[in-house]
Amino acid sequence: MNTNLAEENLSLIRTLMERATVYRRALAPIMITTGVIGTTASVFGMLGKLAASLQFLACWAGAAAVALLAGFALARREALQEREAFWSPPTRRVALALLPAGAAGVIAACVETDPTQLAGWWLLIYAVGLHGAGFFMPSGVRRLSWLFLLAGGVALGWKNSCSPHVVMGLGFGGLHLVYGIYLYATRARQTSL
Amino acid sequence: MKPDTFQKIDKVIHEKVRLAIVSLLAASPELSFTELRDNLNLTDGNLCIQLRTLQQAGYIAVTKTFENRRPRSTCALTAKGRQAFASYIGILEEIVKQNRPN
Repeated sequence: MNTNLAEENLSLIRTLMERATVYRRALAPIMITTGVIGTTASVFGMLGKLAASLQFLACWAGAAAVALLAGFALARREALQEREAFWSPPTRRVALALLPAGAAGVIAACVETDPTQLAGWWLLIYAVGLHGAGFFMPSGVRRLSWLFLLAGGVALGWKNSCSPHVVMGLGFGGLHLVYGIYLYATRARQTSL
Repeated sequence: MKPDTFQKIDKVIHEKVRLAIVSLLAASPELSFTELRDNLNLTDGNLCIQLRTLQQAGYIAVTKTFENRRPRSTCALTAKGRQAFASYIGILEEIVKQNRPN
């Protein structure tokens, strides 16, 4: 065996070992569903004029719970279809990486009473959690987390110039939807190659 | 490269597809048959043959279970397989080191 082949094999081993730790299950449907739930909650919040702090909190806590349940259901369905364990090591890593961000979101909700500010903080916290979890997911997720970070920064900087439901709708609804569509489009392209 | 280095190469692991299977299993406690097949773009038949070879060498353990009445095969590296994989990487690194200009 020559040096080139040895280096090539070492590189192959590294790539495959990294791939084994990456979460890929039902990512596109989860992103689209979360996007649709986020957009629907935003429209519901605006039409229902849920402007008070508690109303805003109830609306988005409900949306988060529905999105979480839908995500679990989609991942479980795909796991069953593929005859794989649902609670696989990559799934466990992603869930554990997102857990502190979830806890921080709950704490922020208890401390921050201004819905617009809370929307900005939630986007920032979610961005940080998503970036951490992104190390166990396709690299596009980490790029998406920077968009959430940007959206959170803009929302916090604009202060009261925009409805918090619009901020959440554009952030949690829009960004998830865009990324889900991107995943579907790139997957279709990969399949056709 | 020293001639004895080549002699030390494990022929079971050295084959490309088997090396890929062992690499994936080394990074995960266990992987299902479908996960391996989809990750490596293999046919069911090809994967079965390679898994059998690795199983016969004692490098992997295949467990067959039922989940929701559906059969499910999971593969995991054995201690012997993990050791063989570590030795194989060691040899590759040795080859690269021996031929690297000072």
